[in-house]
Amino acid sequence: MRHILAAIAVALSPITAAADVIYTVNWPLFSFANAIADGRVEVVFPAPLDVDPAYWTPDADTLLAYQRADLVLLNGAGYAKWVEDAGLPRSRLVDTTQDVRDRLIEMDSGPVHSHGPDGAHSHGGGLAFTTWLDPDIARAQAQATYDAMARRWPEHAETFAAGHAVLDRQLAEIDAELHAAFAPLRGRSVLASHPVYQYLGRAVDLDLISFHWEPDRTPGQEEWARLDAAVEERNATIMLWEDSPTPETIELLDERNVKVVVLPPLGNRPTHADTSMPDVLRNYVDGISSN
Amino acid sequence: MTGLVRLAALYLWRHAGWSALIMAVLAVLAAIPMVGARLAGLATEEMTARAATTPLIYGPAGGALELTLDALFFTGAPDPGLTMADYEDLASQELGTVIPVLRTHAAHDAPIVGVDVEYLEMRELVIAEGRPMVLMGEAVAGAAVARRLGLTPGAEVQSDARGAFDIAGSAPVRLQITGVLAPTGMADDEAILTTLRSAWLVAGLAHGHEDLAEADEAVVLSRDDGVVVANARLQEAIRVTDVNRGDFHFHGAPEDRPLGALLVFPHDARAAALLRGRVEDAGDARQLIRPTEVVRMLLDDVFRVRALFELATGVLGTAGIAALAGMVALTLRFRRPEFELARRIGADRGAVVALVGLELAILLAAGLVLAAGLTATVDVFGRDLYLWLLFGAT
Repeated sequence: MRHILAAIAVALSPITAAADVIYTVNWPLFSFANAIADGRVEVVFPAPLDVDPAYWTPDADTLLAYQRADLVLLNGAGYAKWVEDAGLPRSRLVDTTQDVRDRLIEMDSGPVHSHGPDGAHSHGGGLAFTTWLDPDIARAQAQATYDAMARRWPEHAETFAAGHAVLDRQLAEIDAELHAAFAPLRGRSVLASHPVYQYLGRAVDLDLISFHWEPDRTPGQEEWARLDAAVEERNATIMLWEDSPTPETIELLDERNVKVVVLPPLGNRPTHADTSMPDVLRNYVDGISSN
Repeated sequence: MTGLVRLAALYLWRHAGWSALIMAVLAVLAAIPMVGARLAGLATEEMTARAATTPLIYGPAGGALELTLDALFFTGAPDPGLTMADYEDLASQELGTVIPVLRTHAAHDAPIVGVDVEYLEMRELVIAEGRPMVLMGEAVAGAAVARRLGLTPGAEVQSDARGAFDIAGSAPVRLQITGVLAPTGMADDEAILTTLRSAWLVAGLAHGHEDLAEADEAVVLSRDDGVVVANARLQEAIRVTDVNRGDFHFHGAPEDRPLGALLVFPHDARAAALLRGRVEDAGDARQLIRPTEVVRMLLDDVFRVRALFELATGVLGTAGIAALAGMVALTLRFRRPEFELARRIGADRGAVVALVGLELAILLAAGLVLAAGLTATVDVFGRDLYLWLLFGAT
């Protein structure tokens, strides 16, 4: 009976947005919105822990929740492709990298093909999307988040402004600390297990050589040969990893005098629930400083 | 008097065919103006209400009436003369809520209308069954079209092959119905509402096929310097599923994708005035219209036509009544021996006149009751009838 009544209530309810709720497409934006909201509005990041939100597709119920939210914070740069397909209300979508579009990084395109009268095109390529790893872009995203929230809930503007000021100051400090920590590596070649550190690399002036190595799998001979060439030609001594690689990989890298530095890009939420995005970036400073 | 009533009733019963004919003629003569007035009232009410809930419509330059009919009533020849760039430009001014609308194709005569999902909120549409559309390839059906086509959540509806805007010679697309709207008595009842991306898919601006980089050589015409050219054997998907969703893609720049109109709900009168000024300053390629003004002009024309209709109805009614009077007079002439017999057995002239008067009164009353019944039927089914008259479907 309860289910029937609930179904009737849902069916007869007009299609309106839920009260005072923000949905985000990744954890960094959740962290920013949460810091700014200071409990005045609910902030929801619904992706399960075991997925990469960049490639995750929400189920229909979750999509409906996004559809009914007061604001949906998007990362932009092609992050979370499902957003393009989802019927979300455009007036409530906030592209947090809209104002820094000219600073987004293009990646190599995929194979080009043509059929019909439309000419050649490619489905690959696109923009690098781990924008929040550049603290300066992260600040722009936090600013866009604050602007949208203050516009939507002017009655909380003062609280939001206070939260944003603290967040912005933290990110500015971390920006300086990151530059200091990476200073010894400035202009030098650094290996990356995946092409996810483009924004960090550009921010602190690294010559990144990216691979497609999975932390839970020891690479094959061909991949080691490519790494050896990079180490030899570019004198790379550090490899950034999204997660700790296998002991065998660590040992093989150690044999080549390549140190492993784990810097999780954290599109999804970290293990500790009370960690904030500034904490994550501070861990980057600690991670690189200890090497 | 009771005897006269009984006599009149018995006469009418005995001549049931003649009585029914007179009654039907009287009913039709009485019903035509009443039904006409009811339908005109409904049309006025519906059109005015629809227009009143949409403060402004932004569209390509041209006929304001065509734009209003397209954007509000999903009828007439569609003109997708706007682009997403127009939408982004208008929405970025943040002077109100802007809802894009695109209609290029139909399914079984029901218009397929691509909208931002906010359209459902602005129109206060209620999902009676199922859920709103959220993904490309999904749609909700209006109450009337769902009833007519037997659509329920989970059903599919196929777009008609040809539309008004076939950029790439669009193939039919099957949309999955995820919800059915509660009846509104408005154009939404007759529409299939979907997302803009689905509307573009229906219009042939997006398609889905296997990855050509890994495709069988049978579908590849050539591979040259990273460019793969497919031949006609390449199968394009006609429905979006969870499995092939990622294969669908658009060609061309997002800002060039077409739109039919933008429904504009300004924050306040000042915002509306600002918008009107800006559109006027921007040149002649676009127009921003008040649909209430357009509908009022349309109704003025309708009222002029209606006055002519009423005049014609009056002339026809007078002619009908004259014909009816002639028919009754002829009948009375044939009944002269009957009246003579009545007088011989003691009925005075007044009783005979009263008998004929009673017969006519009974027929008139029955005719009026029938006319009232017809009018009441229009009251019940008038919206469907009105929609059928306006949109050509039930």
